[in-house]
Amino acid sequence: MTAAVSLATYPDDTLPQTLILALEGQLDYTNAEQLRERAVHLLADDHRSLILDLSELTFCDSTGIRILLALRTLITARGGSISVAGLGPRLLKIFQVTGLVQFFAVQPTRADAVALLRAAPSADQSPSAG
Amino acid sequence: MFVSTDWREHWPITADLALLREQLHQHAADAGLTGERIDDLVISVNEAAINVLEHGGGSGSVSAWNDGTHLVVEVADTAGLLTPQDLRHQRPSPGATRGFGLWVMSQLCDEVAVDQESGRSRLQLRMRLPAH
Repeated sequence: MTAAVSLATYPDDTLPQTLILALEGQLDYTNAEQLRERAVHLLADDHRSLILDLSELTFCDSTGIRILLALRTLITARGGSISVAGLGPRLLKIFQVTGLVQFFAVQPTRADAVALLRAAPSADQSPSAG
Repeated sequence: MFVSTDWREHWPITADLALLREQLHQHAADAGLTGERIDDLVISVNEAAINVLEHGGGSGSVSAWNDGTHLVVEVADTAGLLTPQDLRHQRPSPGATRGFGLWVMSQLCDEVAVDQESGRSRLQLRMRLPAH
């Protein structure tokens, strides 16, 4: 039984430039690179924000966090932002101990992350929304 | 209640880290660790196993036993490059590519020690067991 991590997208019509991904399972050394490739594949050129819902992720090691950090680098390089939502105590601990928590906007839930983005007068409410 | 202290469990380090975590979790629970303390140990041993796969020759083993006061988990590699000097006293900088695992272990386990001899490095992680 090797670790499995699955990825689901939650498109939101009101946030066309936001990619919302939910991770489920266990993210570790054995599957982190594969997950990065799948996430990068889902990231379209016009995406400016990335929301990662980690509420169903039961395990994440330092390799996993570094992959999330790589996704952050990608999105910030294009002037975008990243937030992570739904960190359980186990995940929060590894984020905090590694000190890498400082690089992510942490929201209690995916809904909170979405609401915050909707409220923000950012590039995401693109001309097409008007 | 005092459990036998001689009984040792051994697991090989393979690419199936999920299986290792599951076996260790069960062993730690049987030894008397609970909740967050089990998580801390499992996270730490997982990091140690990653280091063996990445820098420690690619293969190794994990042994666990109860020494009467602590659950001891020893992670042995076949490269022998890990030395006591590698133990972390400071958090690696965010841009660092190495060192996070050892830092995490130092923060989550009660004791961490490295013993290097004859081409092998052995990392020992110790978790104090609750008093009976």
